[in-house]
Amino acid sequence: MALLVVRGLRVRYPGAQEDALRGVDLELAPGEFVCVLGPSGAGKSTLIRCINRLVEPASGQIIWDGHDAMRLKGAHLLAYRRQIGMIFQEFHLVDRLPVLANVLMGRFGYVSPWQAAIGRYGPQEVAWARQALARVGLAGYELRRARDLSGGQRQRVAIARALVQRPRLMLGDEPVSNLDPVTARAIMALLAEINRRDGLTMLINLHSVDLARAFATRVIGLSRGQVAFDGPPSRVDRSVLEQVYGTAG
Amino acid sequence: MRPSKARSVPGAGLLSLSRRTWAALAVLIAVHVWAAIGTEFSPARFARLANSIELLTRWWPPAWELADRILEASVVTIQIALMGTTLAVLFALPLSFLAARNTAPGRFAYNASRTLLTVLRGIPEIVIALVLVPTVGLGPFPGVLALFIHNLGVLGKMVSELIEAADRGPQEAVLATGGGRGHMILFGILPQIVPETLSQAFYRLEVNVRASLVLGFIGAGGLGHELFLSFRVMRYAEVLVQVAAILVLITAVDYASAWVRRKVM
Ligand SMILES: Nc1ncnc2c1ncn2[C@@H]1O[C@H](COP(=O)(O)OP(=O)(O)O)[C@@H](O)[C@H]1O
Ligand SMILES: [Mg+2]
Repeated sequence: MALLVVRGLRVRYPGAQEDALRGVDLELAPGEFVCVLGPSGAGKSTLIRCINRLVEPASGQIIWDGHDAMRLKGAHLLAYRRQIGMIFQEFHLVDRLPVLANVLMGRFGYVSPWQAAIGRYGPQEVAWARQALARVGLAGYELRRARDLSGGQRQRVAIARALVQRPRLMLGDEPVSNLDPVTARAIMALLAEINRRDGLTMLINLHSVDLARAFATRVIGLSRGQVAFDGPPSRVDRSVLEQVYGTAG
Repeated sequence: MRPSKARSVPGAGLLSLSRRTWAALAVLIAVHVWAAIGTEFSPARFARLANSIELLTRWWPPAWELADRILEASVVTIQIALMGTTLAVLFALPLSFLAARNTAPGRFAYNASRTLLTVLRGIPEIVIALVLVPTVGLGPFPGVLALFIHNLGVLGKMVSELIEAADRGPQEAVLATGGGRGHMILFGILPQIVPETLSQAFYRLEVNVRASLVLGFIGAGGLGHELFLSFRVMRYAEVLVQVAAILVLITAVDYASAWVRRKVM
């Protein structure tokens, strides 16, 4: 059974002239590594934010594990979101806090704000946080300030933060666009390794066609709010790229 | 070589302003002429400059024997400013989350807290102090309360604007983990606004030291009160020492505040 089914997703931002998404259909099977390609403004970020309900679609369906995720509210919505990890182009860590505090943010779905504020977590949660840090190659970095780390290290902290949610899906909004090419490739390799070993499903926006070809098990091309291509990376050729990015490039 | 017949070319210099700018300039000048008449502005009166100099000579020699007392009064002045500022910061922080569009729990809370802040900000410290004296009596305490209430309005507005301008990214990151509104405020917004809030708090401390001098005139104690008493009985030798103390105090607070603001940013 599909982990996630998206049907006829339409989004219009307040005050916008056109729909940002114009009827997107998508199915994710467990264990897939899907990369979403498309020019700026195609709707990649919007699609990802609809899936974890940070953006409200005008219409369409989101079915998570066989259940309607569009009508979730309050505690149910939060419980839904904590099953989905998310990483960002700008990392979005709390720069002044130590790495450990940042990783434990992944447990916000389980602790009250006040507990989080005084750093009160269960021993199991702290153990998961340390394991996650070791997993991303940052064992021993627990007490370093997030702002003292390099870009690649910060994205690793963000990945660890998502991992301690024990998610079933990982969303990425251009997570390597702010990194140099070597670091970008290393981060993609880490995501691929997590995908293979844990079977964690990935839906990652990218602006690099080469990285998508190298790591994805499936590529989706978005163009002006619609799916223009959906297939294996081996089929991403010149004509597909023209279709997705337009002929200008 | 420079051409001999250079002249101002239209559209070339700093003064190539549009018609509208020239018109605005003319209006501005007219308004100031009007204000000068209203304030009886008259450089000719400086002919009697000797009068002021004569006054100043009577200030000398300074009454240094009062230094102890003046030092004590300076401490009170700083204490008034410190208490007023800190209370204002502590109460402004939670209030500003009600008064920021993106964190207000509802339209009513937003409008009510905005209105409250505007009213508090609009009342001058001295009026608040005068109104409170019958209740809490004379002395530094009404001064502290006056600074607290006025600055609650000032800082509340400022912090709520910082909250509205905070980067959405970290807030999204908190929501994406399954965190709620409380997590978002504490981890997604607070860390972003703390440095600028501290910096503004120290700037207010600076402003409040000056304000507490004025409050001393109406009995709030401290250096302002001492200055007021000495002036009234025309003990100018004391006034001279007090003015010197004020200069030192304000300069010191300015430096300290600038230093701290550099550190927190
Ligand atoms: N918050 C927003 N308000 C209004 N319009 C937006 C907003 N975010 C994105 N858009 C518009 O929606 C379209 C899709 O944007 P986005 O999803 O960010 O594309 P991508 O991530 O592929 O660059 C663009 O036309 C963009 O200008
Ligand atoms: Mg984007």
